[in-house]
Formats: sequence, C-alpha cells, structure tokens
Amino acid sequence: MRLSPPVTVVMIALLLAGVPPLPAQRFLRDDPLWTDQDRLPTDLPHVRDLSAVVDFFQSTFVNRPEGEIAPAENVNTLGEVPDSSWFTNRIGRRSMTLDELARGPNQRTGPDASGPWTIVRAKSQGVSPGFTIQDARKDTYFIKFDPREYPQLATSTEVIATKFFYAFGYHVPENFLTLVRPQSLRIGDGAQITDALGKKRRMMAKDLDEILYKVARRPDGQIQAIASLALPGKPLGPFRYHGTRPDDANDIFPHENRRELRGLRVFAAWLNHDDARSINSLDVFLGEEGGAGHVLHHLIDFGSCLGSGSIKPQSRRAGYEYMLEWTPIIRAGSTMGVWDRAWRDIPYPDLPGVGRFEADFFQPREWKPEYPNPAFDRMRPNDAFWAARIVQRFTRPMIEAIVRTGQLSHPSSERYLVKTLLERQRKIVQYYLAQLNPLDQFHLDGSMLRFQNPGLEAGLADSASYEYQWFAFDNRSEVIRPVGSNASSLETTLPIPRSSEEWLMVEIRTRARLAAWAKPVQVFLRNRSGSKVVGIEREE
Amino acid sequence: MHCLLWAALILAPISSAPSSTAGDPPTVRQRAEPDAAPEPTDSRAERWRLRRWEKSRHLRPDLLSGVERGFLWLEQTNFLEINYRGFYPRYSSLGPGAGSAPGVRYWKPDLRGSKLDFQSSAAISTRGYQEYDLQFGRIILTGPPPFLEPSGNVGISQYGDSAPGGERFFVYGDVTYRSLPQEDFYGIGPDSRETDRTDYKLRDSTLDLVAGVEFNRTFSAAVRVGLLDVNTSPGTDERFPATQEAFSEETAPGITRQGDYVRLNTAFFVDFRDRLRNPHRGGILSFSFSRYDERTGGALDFNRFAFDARHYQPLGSVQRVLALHFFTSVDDADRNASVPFYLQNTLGGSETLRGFRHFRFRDVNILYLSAEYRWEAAPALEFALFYDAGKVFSDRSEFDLTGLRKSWGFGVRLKTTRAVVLRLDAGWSEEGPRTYLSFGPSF
Repeated sequence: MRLSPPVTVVMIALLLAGVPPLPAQRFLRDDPLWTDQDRLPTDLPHVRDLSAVVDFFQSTFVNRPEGEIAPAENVNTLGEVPDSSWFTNRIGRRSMTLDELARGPNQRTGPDASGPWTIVRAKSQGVSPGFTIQDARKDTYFIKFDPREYPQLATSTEVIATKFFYAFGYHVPENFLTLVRPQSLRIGDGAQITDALGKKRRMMAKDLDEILYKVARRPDGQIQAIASLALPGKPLGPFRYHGTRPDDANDIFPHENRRELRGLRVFAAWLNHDDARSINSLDVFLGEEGGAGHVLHHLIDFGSCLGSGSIKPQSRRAGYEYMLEWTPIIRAGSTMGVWDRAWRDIPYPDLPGVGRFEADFFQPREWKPEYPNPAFDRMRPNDAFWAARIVQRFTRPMIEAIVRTGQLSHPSSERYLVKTLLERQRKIVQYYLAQLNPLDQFHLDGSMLRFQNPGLEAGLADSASYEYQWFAFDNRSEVIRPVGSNASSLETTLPIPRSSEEWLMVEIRTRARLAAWAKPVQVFLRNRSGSKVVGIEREE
Repeated sequence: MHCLLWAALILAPISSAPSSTAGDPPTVRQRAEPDAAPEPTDSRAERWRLRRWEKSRHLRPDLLSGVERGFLWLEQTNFLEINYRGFYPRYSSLGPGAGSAPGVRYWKPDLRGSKLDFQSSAAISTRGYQEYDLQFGRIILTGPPPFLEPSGNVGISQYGDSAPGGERFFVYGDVTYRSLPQEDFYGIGPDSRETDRTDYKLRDSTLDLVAGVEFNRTFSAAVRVGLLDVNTSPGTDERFPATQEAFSEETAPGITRQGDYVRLNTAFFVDFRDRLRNPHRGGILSFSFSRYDERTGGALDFNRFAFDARHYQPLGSVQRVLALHFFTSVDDADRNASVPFYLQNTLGGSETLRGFRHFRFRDVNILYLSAEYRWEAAPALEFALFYDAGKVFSDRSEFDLTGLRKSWGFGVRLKTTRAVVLRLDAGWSEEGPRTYLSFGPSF
C-alpha cells in the first residue's frame, strides 16, 4: 500500500497520540480542501520578539536541511495551498483586475491629509528612521522615508512590492505612498523617541528636524513617504521559518514545510526580496480583549526589494551570495583575491528610484536571500512549480499597473522596472516549468479531461504530444488496474473511458524536447456522484 | 489498548481537557478547540482539526532562550552603535604595550537641548597605564574624533556623521591626563640597538581648545591649542634599565627636565576616501604644522612639519586593493634648543615597521613608506601582505631612500562594512618576527 506523505504524517501523529488508525484511503470525502480552518479560537499566545543575530546563526548553521526533504505538508490533493491564516489564494486561482492589483491590500485611501498628523512616537536611528502618526481619523500609521541621497528608492519599492506580495496571496499591511508636508506634522503630547541606545525619552522639535534632515525632499518641500497602516489586532512578534509556535494550537505544520513559505523563495527571487527572513514578518492576534481569537501571519517591510536596500541601493551581493558563504570565502581567500565574485561586475543603470536591479545575470536557481531561510532551503520542484505558476499569471499590463503605483517620477525608471520584471519572470517560469511535467489546469468537460501545458505558453517548446494510460484506482488499497491501453494525443484533451469504477486515474507523459516533461503526472478523478478532479501527483 | 485510549479521548470533556502543561502561565492556556469531541473521520478538514485539538493539549509558551534574550537586548539597545549615551563600560587602547584597558565613559550630547556635548572617560590597563579625559563643547555627533595625537604625530581626522542642519564645525575644550609607566626607549637615531632597550614613565596632562571645520566632504581643517605638561621618571618594567640610568641629557634631550609647553597644532585634510574607516578607493592627504614652546626657558622649543598621504587603489575589483602610505615629519628646533626625546616621532610597532618593536627608532626627522596588498575573502574578512620601509634621521640632508629599515608580513582583519574592527599583523625584520593584535586599520 502506498500512502501519500500528508496521509502518512497524519497517521503517524494519530498513532503517537494513541488514536487508532483511521480507515486508510488516499482521498477523503472533502478533498481537495480549499480552506484550512486554522482560525479556531485560542487564547492569546505569548508576545515575543526575535533576535536577528540568533535567527542568522540558527538559519545558517542549525536549521539547514539534512537528508531527504519531505514534501510540503499543508497542500491539498491538487498540490495547491488552501486558504489559511497564512495565505489566501488570489491571482493563482482567480483573475484579478488591474484596479484590484493596483489597489492591493488597501481598503482605505491612506492617511487623512485634511488635518495635522500627530506624531506619537519616533525612532532616530535604525535602518530607516521614521515615526508613528495618528491622522485626523485617529488611524495609526508608521511613516518611513527615502534616504536623502536616493529619492523614491525605498518608498516606491515598498509600495510596488506590497502589491505583488498581496497578489501572490500573502497577508501584508496596507501601505500607501503619501506626501508629507513638514508643517502638517505635530509632535503629540507625550510623544516619545527611541534614541541610539534604545532609550525612550520625550520627543522634541529638534528630533523631528533631525529625522527630516536625513530624508529626501521634493523640490516643493514635500516629502514622499510610505504610510503603513497599523495592522489590526495585537502584535505577537515575528514568525519563524522553522518549527511551529508551541503556544498556538492552530499552527500544526512546521513552517519549513509550508508550501507558501517554501514557494516564497520564487517570489522573493523575482522581486529580489533578499530580506525575506523572520524579522520581516509579523504575527497578530485577532480577537476580543481577553477573549479568544486566532493568529494571522503577515509579511511586512518590503523596503529591501527590487533595487532598493532600504537606506541605499541594494548591495551588489544581494541575491547572489549569502552574508556568510564558505565556498567564495575560501576561493577568494586562498587565491589572494584573484578569484573574484562575478556579481561585483554586474552593470546597473543609473536610473532614479531604481537602485540595483537587473535581469541579465539573474538565475532563478542561484538566487539567495541575505542568509539561508529554512523554508527556502527545503523548496522542492513541486513547491517551486506552484509558485512559478503564480508568477506566470502576471501579464505585462498587470506588472505595469503595479509598477505604476510606485509613482516613479521618471518614466524611464518605470519602463526599466517593468522590462526587468518581465525578463526575470520569463527566467523563473522557464526554469521551474522545465524541471517536471508542467501540465496543469485539469478539469472535466463532459466526457473529456482537459488541461493546459503552461510550458508551451512559456515558450519552452513549440509543440508537444501526450502519452497517457487510464487506470482504475482503488482509493483504499491504492492498487491500480489498467483500463484500456496506452494512447497518445497531440491535443490537451483526453477522452475519459466509460467505466463503472468509482475512481479513475490517468498517467500522462509529455513528449517534447525537454526530457523532464516525460516524468508522469497522475490525475485522479472521482467518477461517481458528480465527477471531478480530486488529485494531481507530479513526479519530481 | 488503542481502543481504550481512543474512548478516553472521545469521552474526555472538552472543557476539562488539559489546556497546557503544568506550570505554564495562564496566558497560554488554550481554549478547548473543537465544539464536539473528535471522532474518526474521513474528512481531511476534520483530521487537521483533530491535530489541532491534539496540539492544544500540549501547549507551552513560546519563550526565548537566555542566549536569544541576550542578543535581542543587545540588538534593541543598538549595542554596536558607538553613540551611547550616559555611563557605559568601554574597552580602550592606551597605547603600545599597555595591555587590556577596561574603563568607563560618560557621553551626554546636546546638553539640555543645546548644541553642547559633554564626554568624559577613564581607563586603567592591566599594566598600570591610566588615562582620564574630559571634553565639553560642540564635539560632533559621533563623539570626539581622534585628532592630532598628543605625541605630535598627525592623527587622521575621523569625521563621523555630520551634524544635522548642515553644521560642519566642532569646537570644544579638552582636558586629559595620562600615565604611561612602561614606555620603551632605545636611544635616538637610526643606529640605536635593540639591546639598549630601556623604559621610562611618561605622565602628561593637557588643557586644550580644539576646533575644526569641514568645508565639504573633501576639505577640512582643525586646530588644537593649549597647554601640555610632561613629566618623565624611571619606568616600572623591571626587565629593563630605566632610561634615566642609561641615557643623559645629551643622548636623550629633555630627560633631566620636565616639559611645560604651550602647544599649537594645525592640520588641513583633503579626504577623498570612499569610506572613512574601511577605505577601498580614494585617499587622504594631510598637512600639519605644530609649534611647541616651553613656558619657562626655551631649550625644548621646536616646530614640526608633517605630511601624510594614503592612497587606496582597487585592482580591478574592490575585493583587491593596493594601499599605499607615505609619511614624513620634520622637526625644526629653535637655535640652541632640542626636540625632547619623548615628543620625537617613532618608527616600529603595530602601525609602522611591523617587524620591529614599538618605539624602536626615533629621531627628529622621519620618513616612512608602506604598501599593502589587501584582499577580501568576504566583506568581513580581509587578508593583507605588507611591506614597510622607513628611517629616522637627524640631518635633513639624509632625506632620501637610502638606509631604510624594512619589514614585511601578513595580516588578517575582521571588519564591518564601516570599519576595520580587529587586526592581526605578523611582521618580520632583521630583528626577527613580531605579532601585533590591534584595533582599527593599519592606515
């Protein structure tokens, strides 16, 4: 008997818990599951922050994968990620309008500029100095600016990246590009500033001057800023990319085995989000004061995306080498520096608001975040395929619509970003769709099984044929029995054999110039009481 | 057995299911999750819910380890930032051979909202070296910069971030007292012998006014004017004879009389390095003039002219840098006066002629050249091969490249993106190998 990995995990867990094994069956009555009910009421978990240094060491030395990497656990039988407190299927499952993409997560219009903004606290140091304000509506926003030397770089980038990550399906804050008039800022009574030592003291006018002195201004004196609406709920601190929260019962899948966190590597590579690490995430608890609620998991802080490194252009190393990576260190050290990193010589255009972002040298498989990410390290071809298919859904007008929300002053900068994103998208899609049989979008149409070959859409081959064999499938024993004989088709439509079997399975191999496409895809159909596709197994 | 456990699980009232392990804080007590007792199911959603119910019985708070709490505290307090406020412990370097020097510093910028800053520090080394200082005035944001060193050597102005609002000047009063009990002296001139090593105790106190202006990122100037009081006495290192026993006023001017000076140092800097404390390209030029006037008598009056040039040339990549250093200093004593031995420039040690001991050569004139080939294995790890050459001389006609003392060696440096933090240099010379562990760049 062969059990799929998720079923095996459940069985082992139940056995360990002293629960008798359930009747074995590959597909359950509610498969494929499109919603993971992980918002069951719990008490408030422990509020804690995480150390970036410890995260670096744990991710670099401790939480690296060993041996065979287990498949992602939180997927449905189609290999998709159900909606959950981590992820909501958006562009991957439905079409999004250009307006919807441009709006992203934003439900409001941004801070109310009709009255003064009251500063309630500030920080004078840090990666990007800024402060927290309350607008006339008493909404709370975190305000961050561009460094003086690089107007629009961080703020426009953050807005653009937020829209992309929202469209992918992640939970992200409402981030607005806004213009700040210094005269409209008022230091609130009791406003505190955190100084360089982390000490809090009362904020004074000169503190505000000091912060505003460091930021980029427009010729009219206004300051472009990112206004990030405070997330509703109680902040609990960042989530880790490894393990689970021991005080959240809803959190049962090890984070490194969540497909949306493994696949985040593909999205991060596309947008050059090298800062995809724990400290740039935030869990919040949604519930009544003192009552039950649930945890919602967010990605935050996209200032280090595309060509922006938050306070300056991305470092040349970003995306190409970990902060600590032994091989290049040994090579450069032992050759007295004669061996050099190729990324040092990558040319970048001198375009305002763009920074260091390119597509010519970008290789999807080689892309790296600042330091190893336990979930990224465990990304398997199926995880990458899932993400690459989402990336593929973005059309040129969609990318243009999102980039336009960055409101870059120079049209050439905007054009360059779009062009670079399209090229990186092409590389990502072509690479990951070439690693396995990419057939997708299986659905029944009367007596036909229809599907798509996104590899052809990606230009990986001009044509393909499909060899297939139908089987009767026993959902309990997982024994298969051929129905009919091998057949071949040039079309992405296969006739479903007449059969009284409850379960059918078809194994399809794609014949084209890519050898990996010959790996089988198994598609499982429930053949009674409303036929439908219930499972897809794609060999890696 | 399984059946019994399963039955117990089903029959257990949900509300009384243990919500957390014993002793856990109530804040992590988990509410009973499913509305009904879990049952065997052929629903995936139910199976996942069952796993959640199972987990809810074994919850524990997500607490950080002590190590992680410690690191978190350090990160949240910006431990690595230089610009602490108030009292804090500090590790200082009190000069060559001083040993470890723990101390404290008090740093209070922007007193009462003004633009005046106050700083004071104290440090005592394991070998009895002491230093106490106090500065008051507009010191610049990152704290008082190393400036013209008390010995008269040209210090490189290490401007930090400029003050907000475009302020680019500093002016402050400086009071310093130092006690250096084991300073080495081998005699004056290029032919001094290593076997003639002696030691003396140097105590000096200064009362100075320091001012500077940064015209722009490239050009800056500074001046230090004030009083310098120097006392020498036998050193405390029992391995070597006291300088006062082995040398006389003729062979070590100033050894029999205490120096009490009015001092003026001026310097002008042309700085085009890419990074101030971890340069990879560009360079810096500094010109300085100093005047030392004895307050009583004039036997130790002199002028000093110094020129320092450093250049950093990337060799096809910032990973490979050729660093060049040229330094010369010429002292001009007044008629019938001498330059005191304790204010003469020296060669040897962790920054010059690294194959020789600290203070190995000294005289009124000095010529020094150094070249380093530096290569970064990683941005935080740098290796270097170096070659140093230099000489001290008494007659300006000897200002040439003959008779240079040479040393060569290998170095390892740990760096941040902003600065060289730790440097280990191993140098060789005709007098054997030397190893130096230092803070900060060689040049």
